[in-house]
Amino acid sequence: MNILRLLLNNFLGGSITTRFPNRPPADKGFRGLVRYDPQICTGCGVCAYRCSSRGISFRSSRTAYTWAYDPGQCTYCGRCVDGCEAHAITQEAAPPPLYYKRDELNLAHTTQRPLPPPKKKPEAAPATGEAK
Amino acid sequence: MNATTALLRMLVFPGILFAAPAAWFFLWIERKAMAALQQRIGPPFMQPFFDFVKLMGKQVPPREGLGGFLMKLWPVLAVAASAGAVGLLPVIPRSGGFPGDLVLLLSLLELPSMFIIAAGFSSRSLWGELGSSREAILSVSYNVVFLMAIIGIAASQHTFSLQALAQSQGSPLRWLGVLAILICLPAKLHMNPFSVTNAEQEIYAGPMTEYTGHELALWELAHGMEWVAATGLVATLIAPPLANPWMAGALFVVLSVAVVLVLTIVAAATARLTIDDSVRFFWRCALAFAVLGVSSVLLMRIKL
Ligand code: SF4
Ligand code: SF4
Repeated sequence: MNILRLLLNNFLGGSITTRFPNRPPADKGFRGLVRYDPQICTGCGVCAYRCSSRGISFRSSRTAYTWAYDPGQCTYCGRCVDGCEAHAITQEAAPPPLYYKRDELNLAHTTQRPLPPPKKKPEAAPATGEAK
Repeated sequence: MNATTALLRMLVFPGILFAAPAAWFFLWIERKAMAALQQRIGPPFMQPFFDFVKLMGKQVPPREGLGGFLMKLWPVLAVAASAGAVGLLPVIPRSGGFPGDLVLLLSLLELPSMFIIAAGFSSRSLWGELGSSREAILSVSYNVVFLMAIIGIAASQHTFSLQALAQSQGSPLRWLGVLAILICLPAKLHMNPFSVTNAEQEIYAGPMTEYTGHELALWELAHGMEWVAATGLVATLIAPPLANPWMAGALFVVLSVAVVLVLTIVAAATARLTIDDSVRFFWRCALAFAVLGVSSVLLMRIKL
């Protein structure tokens, strides 16, 4: 009859779950939304390479690169954060907010690549022969 | 009871129009009580209704051929049978009924189980077939006890009319029968400890594995109405006869809810038995109740 006592205690103890959208406070080290700092990013694209759920996409051209994040795809695994050598991405220590429209939390940031230093014109070859 | 009142009882009160909200209410009580016993907050009041609406709006994969047609047909038939069963319940005293309606109620209560078996096999899913064969084996076992209990009660009160049963006084044999019915109800309603049929986390959803959308919604509704009919049958048998129809109706609802709560506590306190153990249990029960039933009949004879 232990089980009945257990059920009674459960019943009297009240619920330990809460109704959505209330959520229990996040613990330290909680892995939430990925945050990006374009100032630090070096544009290497490793984060997108490491993300196996296509949460991050990275498009790059000669002149600019675009870093985009889709929380709807993200599994909050943290692999992108671990792999970013520049520490340009972090994760919020709170559960993601509720959103009601598709793609509402998506982020995209385009950074222009610094223009390459202008190429020096090759100096005119010293005249070797004499005009005849 | 003529055709019009029969139709009214089946479609309006206590049939579909009453039975559908009652079904959702009972499903909610069951889920909420189970949550309270497991320290969870449980679903909001309207959740079973919301689930129904949401499922109704979902797309169903195209089902072709005779198998597909049958898969669509079974849930509709199950809803019709369980609505018919609820329609026969004498919720309000002297509201009609006919001699022998108990037999019809029993067969209507039995039909959803048959449709579930058929649905599992029609779906041709491995889990469906497994669940269906379990349901078939289980129903052969618990129905012996269930039918014996009902026949015992009816014979002890000399009537097969629900109305007359509701109006008559209790007797020891009747209480014995009610106990036997209560033991069978978890198996009939696929609750723990006799939930092998749709053993979730084990064979997915058994016969329901391949179902989705409005078909699954209809199965859920049929299941809810089975709850109403089965607990209503017990309430009819244990309620003392009352003259005031409002009081009788209220008592009927209170007793049905009490039965739901008892079944939920049993389900929360037990783990799922294997099919062998379930079958063994019901055949032992059948033996015990048969011995008790026969001896009480003999005792009554001697007393008379
Ligand atoms: S890994 Fe870091 S530095 Fe590289 S593209 Fe991603 S955010 Fe930028
Ligand atoms: S946390 Fe994981 S899933 Fe989300 S973007 Fe980073 S690597 Fe992708």
